[in-house]
Amino acid sequence: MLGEFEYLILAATVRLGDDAYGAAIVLEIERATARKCSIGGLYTTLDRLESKGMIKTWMGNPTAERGGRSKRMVRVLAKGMEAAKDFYDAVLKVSRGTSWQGASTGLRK
Amino acid sequence: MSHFWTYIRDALCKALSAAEREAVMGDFAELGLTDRRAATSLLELVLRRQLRAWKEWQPWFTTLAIILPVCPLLAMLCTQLSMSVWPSVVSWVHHEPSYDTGLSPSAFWGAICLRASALATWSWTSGFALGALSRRTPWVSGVLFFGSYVVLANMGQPFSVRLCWLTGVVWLPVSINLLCVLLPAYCGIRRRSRMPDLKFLRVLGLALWTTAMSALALWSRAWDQAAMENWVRGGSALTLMQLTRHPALWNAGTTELLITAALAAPIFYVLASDALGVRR
Repeated sequence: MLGEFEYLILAATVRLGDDAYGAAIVLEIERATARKCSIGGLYTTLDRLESKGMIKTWMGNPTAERGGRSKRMVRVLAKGMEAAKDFYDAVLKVSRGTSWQGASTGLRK
Repeated sequence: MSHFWTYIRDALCKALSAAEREAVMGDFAELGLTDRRAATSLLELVLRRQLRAWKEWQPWFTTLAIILPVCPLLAMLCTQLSMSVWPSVVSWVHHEPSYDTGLSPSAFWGAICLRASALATWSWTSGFALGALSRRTPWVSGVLFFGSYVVLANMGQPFSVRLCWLTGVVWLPVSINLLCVLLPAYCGIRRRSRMPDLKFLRVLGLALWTTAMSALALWSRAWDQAAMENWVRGGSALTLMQLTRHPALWNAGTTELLITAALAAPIFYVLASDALGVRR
């Protein structure tokens, strides 16, 4: 079973498609969760996902906005897709019949 | 303060591979992170990597099989070497006459050079083996190696020497420690970290060289005993030529053989891991 952060990385990577690399994934996760995402945490998790055979990473082309430095590109493999789908299904199943709207409203009051 | 964080960031960056360093620095540039945030992020990455690396057996093997046995032995032999050289140097500097050891000056300095070369060889090969076998923790294992060595070498010094850190008395042992152990060990680790692949023949050559130096060190250690026996009989100082013909020259004790074997062992671990195809 994936961890929450692992799922976020897989989802952000799939969403970004061919433009998935370190900084872009960080921005995507920060935008979606409104929380800070560190490069250190991201790269460690990428290592772990790669060692599990869920993603593939390789060095991409350098760009001017990065000071002419290369990117570590990321692609989700079939095993990663399957694990992410299982995680998503589990979240959906466990959330069925649950509404967070009231709880959120209650908290504000 | 900004320079401080830049320095920390750059220093931490060196713990990453060249390709990854480029990717990470590029990400920092693109995200517009301050040096401080980049440094803390890098610290997190490096620490997490190290913790993960220590879950494997290789770093523990290098700690138990190289650092623990080799550091005390190197510290002991280096202290012995300093203690052999020190009286001769003091005598020569202050009083001019040579310090009588029962060996001719050429034999005495020959023995010193052989022991110093053997120490440098063992240190270099230990550093090299540390870099080769610790897999992803060469610099942390290196810090453990140097830390243990410095503590043990300092403990091995006579108390009077430890008290005189600011006087010249200390500089000879410190220089010998630095030149014969610390610098070669550092060069060994650095050399391995810059080699993309190990060649079996190269490691075999290193193992043969280490064996030869160990044998020469063992041989020269017997010279003191030979000189003592000769002195008891009232003979004159032994020359190198006489020492080569001395009958008890290769009769090394079991302890000396074990010490030499333990010091020469690290390069054979590398050789064995290469021959057996153990993944590094």
